Amino acid sequence: MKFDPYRILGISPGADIEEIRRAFREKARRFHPDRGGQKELFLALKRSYEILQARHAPARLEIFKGRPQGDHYVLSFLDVTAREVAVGAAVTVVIPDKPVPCPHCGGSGQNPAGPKRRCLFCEGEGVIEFSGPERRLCIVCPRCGGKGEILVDICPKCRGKGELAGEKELELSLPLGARPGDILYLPPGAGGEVAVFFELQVHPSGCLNFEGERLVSRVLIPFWRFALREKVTVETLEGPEDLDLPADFQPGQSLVLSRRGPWRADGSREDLYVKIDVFFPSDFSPKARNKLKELAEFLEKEEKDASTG
Amino acid sequence: MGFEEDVLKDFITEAKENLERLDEEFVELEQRPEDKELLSSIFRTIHTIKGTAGFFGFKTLEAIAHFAEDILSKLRDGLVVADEETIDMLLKAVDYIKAIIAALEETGKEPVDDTYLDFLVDLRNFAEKVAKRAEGGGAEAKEASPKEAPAAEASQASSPEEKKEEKGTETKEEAQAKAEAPREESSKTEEKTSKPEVPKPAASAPKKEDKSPPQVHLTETHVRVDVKLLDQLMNLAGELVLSRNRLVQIASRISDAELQNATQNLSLVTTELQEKIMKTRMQPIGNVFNKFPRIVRDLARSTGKKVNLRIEGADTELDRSIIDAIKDPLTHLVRNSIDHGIEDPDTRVQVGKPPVGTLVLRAYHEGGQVVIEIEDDGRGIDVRKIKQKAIEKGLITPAEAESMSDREALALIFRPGFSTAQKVTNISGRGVGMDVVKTNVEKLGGSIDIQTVLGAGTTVRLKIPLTLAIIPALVVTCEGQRYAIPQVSLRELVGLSPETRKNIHQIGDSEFFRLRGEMVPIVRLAKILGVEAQPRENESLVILNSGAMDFGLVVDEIWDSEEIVVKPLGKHFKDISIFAGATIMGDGKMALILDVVGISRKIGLKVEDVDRAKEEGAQAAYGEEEQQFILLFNVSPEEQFAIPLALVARLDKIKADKLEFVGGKEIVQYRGRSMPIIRLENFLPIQPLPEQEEYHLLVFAEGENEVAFLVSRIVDSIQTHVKLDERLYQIEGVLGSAIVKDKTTLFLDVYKIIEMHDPNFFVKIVPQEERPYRVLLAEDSPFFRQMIANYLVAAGYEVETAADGLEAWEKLQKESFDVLVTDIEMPRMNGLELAKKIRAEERLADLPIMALTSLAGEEDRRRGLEAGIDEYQVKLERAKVLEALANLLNRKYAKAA
Repeated sequence: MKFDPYRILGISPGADIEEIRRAFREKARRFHPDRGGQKELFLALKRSYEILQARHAPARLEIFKGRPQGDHYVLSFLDVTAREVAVGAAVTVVIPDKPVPCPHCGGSGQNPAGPKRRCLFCEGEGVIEFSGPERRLCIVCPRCGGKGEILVDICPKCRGKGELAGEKELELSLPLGARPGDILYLPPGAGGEVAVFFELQVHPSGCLNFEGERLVSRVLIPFWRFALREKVTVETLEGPEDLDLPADFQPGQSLVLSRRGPWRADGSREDLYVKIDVFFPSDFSPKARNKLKELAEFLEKEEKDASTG
Repeated sequence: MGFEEDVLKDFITEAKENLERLDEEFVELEQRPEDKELLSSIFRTIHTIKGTAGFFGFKTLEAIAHFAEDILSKLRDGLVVADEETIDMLLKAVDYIKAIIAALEETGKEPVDDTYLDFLVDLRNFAEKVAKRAEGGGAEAKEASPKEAPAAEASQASSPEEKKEEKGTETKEEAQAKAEAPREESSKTEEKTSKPEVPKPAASAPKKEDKSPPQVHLTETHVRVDVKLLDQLMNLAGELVLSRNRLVQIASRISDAELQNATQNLSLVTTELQEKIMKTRMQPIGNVFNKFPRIVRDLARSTGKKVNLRIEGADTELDRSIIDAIKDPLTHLVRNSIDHGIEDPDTRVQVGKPPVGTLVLRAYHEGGQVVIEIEDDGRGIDVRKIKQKAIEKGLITPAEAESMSDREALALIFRPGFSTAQKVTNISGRGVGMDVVKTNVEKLGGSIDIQTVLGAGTTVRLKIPLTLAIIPALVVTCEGQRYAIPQVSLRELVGLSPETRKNIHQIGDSEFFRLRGEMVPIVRLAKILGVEAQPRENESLVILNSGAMDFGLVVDEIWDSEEIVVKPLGKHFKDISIFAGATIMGDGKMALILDVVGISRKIGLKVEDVDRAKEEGAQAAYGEEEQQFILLFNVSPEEQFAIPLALVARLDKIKADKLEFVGGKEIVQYRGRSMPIIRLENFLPIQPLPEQEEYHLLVFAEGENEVAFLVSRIVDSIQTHVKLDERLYQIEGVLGSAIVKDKTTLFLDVYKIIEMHDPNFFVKIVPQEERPYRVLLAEDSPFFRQMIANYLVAAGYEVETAADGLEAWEKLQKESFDVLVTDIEMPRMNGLELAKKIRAEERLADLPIMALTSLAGEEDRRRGLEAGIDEYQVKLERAKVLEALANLLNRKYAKAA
């Protein structure tokens, strides 16, 4: 017989967690080995309680190491933004649920819109007639149910099964410390019927994105502002922020905002990396071009003077 | 959580094995401290433990393994020599590891105990020391010293980052600094004195000796066994089964009680042994299934599709060799599903599907076989395109394509050199696929079947036997030779006697057997084997399932059911598709194993033919005698009643307020007329009709007269074979009882009840004035007998009944009747025989005879007329029967007068 935790605890399958807890405590007291109870029975009680506890535990996503396995499970994926991952935001996940009757065929498994064949039982009449001179008696054909036709094709929607895989949505928080490519695990019972593994697919949110394990905020500024090391406005997890560029800051380098990055599992935070991309406009107005030339000449001269002097 | 526990269990098992080996290796190491190979082996083992511990996040375990590995790497590279002290330290580390593993096995968690941390510090210091020694001895530069902690990350070059990184690893540096402190203080002598500081980890009692870290005894629950050994065991078990079979046969010949007992015991043990050995070879199919998440993810990514993978029944067990063999076919099918089946997200949305496709991998046991399904909800397979492709490839002609059924067209996929993809992709390969898949599956004794709906998806279903080596089989004979049929294909056995042969029908060129209303094609084994068959009186029919359909095989004799050991046929026979192999029988002789799928293919049964036969079979069932359409209804909810549906003129519903009680009669306004109502409880000893808002009316009509039964609920109308029990209820108005739909059901005599309600309801059509005509009714079914007798009596006849032709004949000898009404199909003497006999006797030659059947056909009518029957009527058509009977009597006696 299949292991039925409800039967072992002596409660009905619809019992809530409080009822389960009460049943377990009461039975555990009675059958505890210390009181001369059978060890196997006690272990079965304990196992039943653990199973049901897990089933009633609030659904929670866990970071999963290794490769998905188990008897029944679903491998799905979760599209999230870098910000959501970094802060462990609540997201909506879709998980399998109990099958639902196919709406197209109403559970018959036959395609109602598909080709039909004449019912040979009633010869397409839908009724079987027993006629006499004074009256006609008709009964509904038991084979085609009175339609006179038999549907030939299986329902294209459910492919003859009469039911479709159900789905339901759950609002769950992403676990802190999850990173792109990680696999998240939703145990069975907690939310759905089977264990679900989600592969995290992280998309950039604005200028924020994961590069490897790091959360990077990228800013694009024109070269002159970079040259002048002007303040830049960068996007952080806490919103836009003005940053000073250090005087010796060079292209390709990153700014590091200490403990402003994504949360770790233990509640601490990683760093946020700010990368500055510089762009160089390709056409200038003649006036700007002249000014630029002027500046270039001036700077070159200054350079030469510095080296000679 | 169950899943992680499983993995953990595996890990613990593996770790325990490794640790046992480590102990031995360390002992050897003391003998040969510079054995490179030995050191490498130890290093690898520790490295594995470290890796797995890291995977599970067991920090202490990982750290101990890490430092031990550190020390070992120096030993291995020959930078330091393994002295007693080092080996001691390493052994201690192994003991700690054992203690942690033991704790993990018990609680699933690492033990929280300071002794472990203390030891960790010791070990780290020691590792540093060894590293120092290695540096001193070797020519390595200082920078190269491997100081990093297990979690150390590579640092990057850019300056501002480095600043940050240093800050980030501050704690680590601190820890290192802490660890360094004692090292700086400690001289070599100090090290020695500090060594006996024995930690006391874990609950298990460590030996109280000096220098003894915790000694934990790890009980072994698993051992590793060479697969070859298991295969050999399996073969031996096979041989044992053969010997057993032989012995059992000999023992049954020599009837010696003691020998019988002994062989029986041997037989039992052999079976059990074989089962157990088989079990050692069983593996969950998850071993293959669990590779697919990765494959599916990669494929989905590379094709830009979105796919949910659903795994069902990964714990289903199969023989190891089969699992190995289906790995590639399965991979191919999964690739096919993603590549050809599931559409890209945009296309899916356009056709009204969710953007994410679903791929289901499902395994389950079904009748000694394992079914594996690969199901996708993709675009399905376009049969037209397949045909087109097959024409292009020259596999079929356009004319063939025209006449080809969808199922046949689908089978083209399995032809060598066929690929449906418009463009060959790097995923599904170049059309070497499905034919190879099919060949591989069939090699395993399995079958493959595709179900597809264009636009909705495809399911590929593989049926695979659980094991290949020993199978239960049915042994049959044909012309003196024995053949074995695998039991998995067997559905049922039918003995062919003259009686059951009636169910064999010839349709087209094929023969069919009607098995409980289902038409099953049959074929003779002798014909397939091509041997000359002697005509036989008693043959047997073996109903087999070839995966796609059932068919019957006619054999001479059914011998026995036996466990057989499958031996492959030599390569000269491999093209003979009707044999799957050979086996050695109990008497030491050989028998060929029939390949059920091969035979079904050889006889080339067309699914269309079978469908046609089935349709005809269904029609035949309709025309069959004694099948009755009956109407089931309730008066009170507890009691179920039945009447022949044919008697009911109409069914209707009325509201309770439409019922009126006028002049002592209950009536209802119906179609502009007052119709009398019969409440059955007034005439029968039954529960009364409960008060309801709405009632059902069963309306009966006779000419202008109408009357209705008032009932509470119509249960159903069904077609059934009525087997009436007349003895239980001998009540007027009840014909008898029968079990219908699991309920005792009373069959009501409608005519009787109506007559009880209103004796003048039925128009008397008795032609003779002085006395009523005497009718002899011959009918074997009590149900019909009573019913017909009742309506004849109600119509004013005097009725005498007989249960069959012979009884009627006897009654005709003793009494005189005006007319004979007879059924055709009756035991002992049927209606035709009776009619012939009557016509042959001078005294009765003029007796009018009317035959009643369930349904009259022209052929029956002709045969009846030949036998001398005057009238032919359908039993249930009361009015027609009465009219015809009156006419017949008028004709006969008017003539006589």
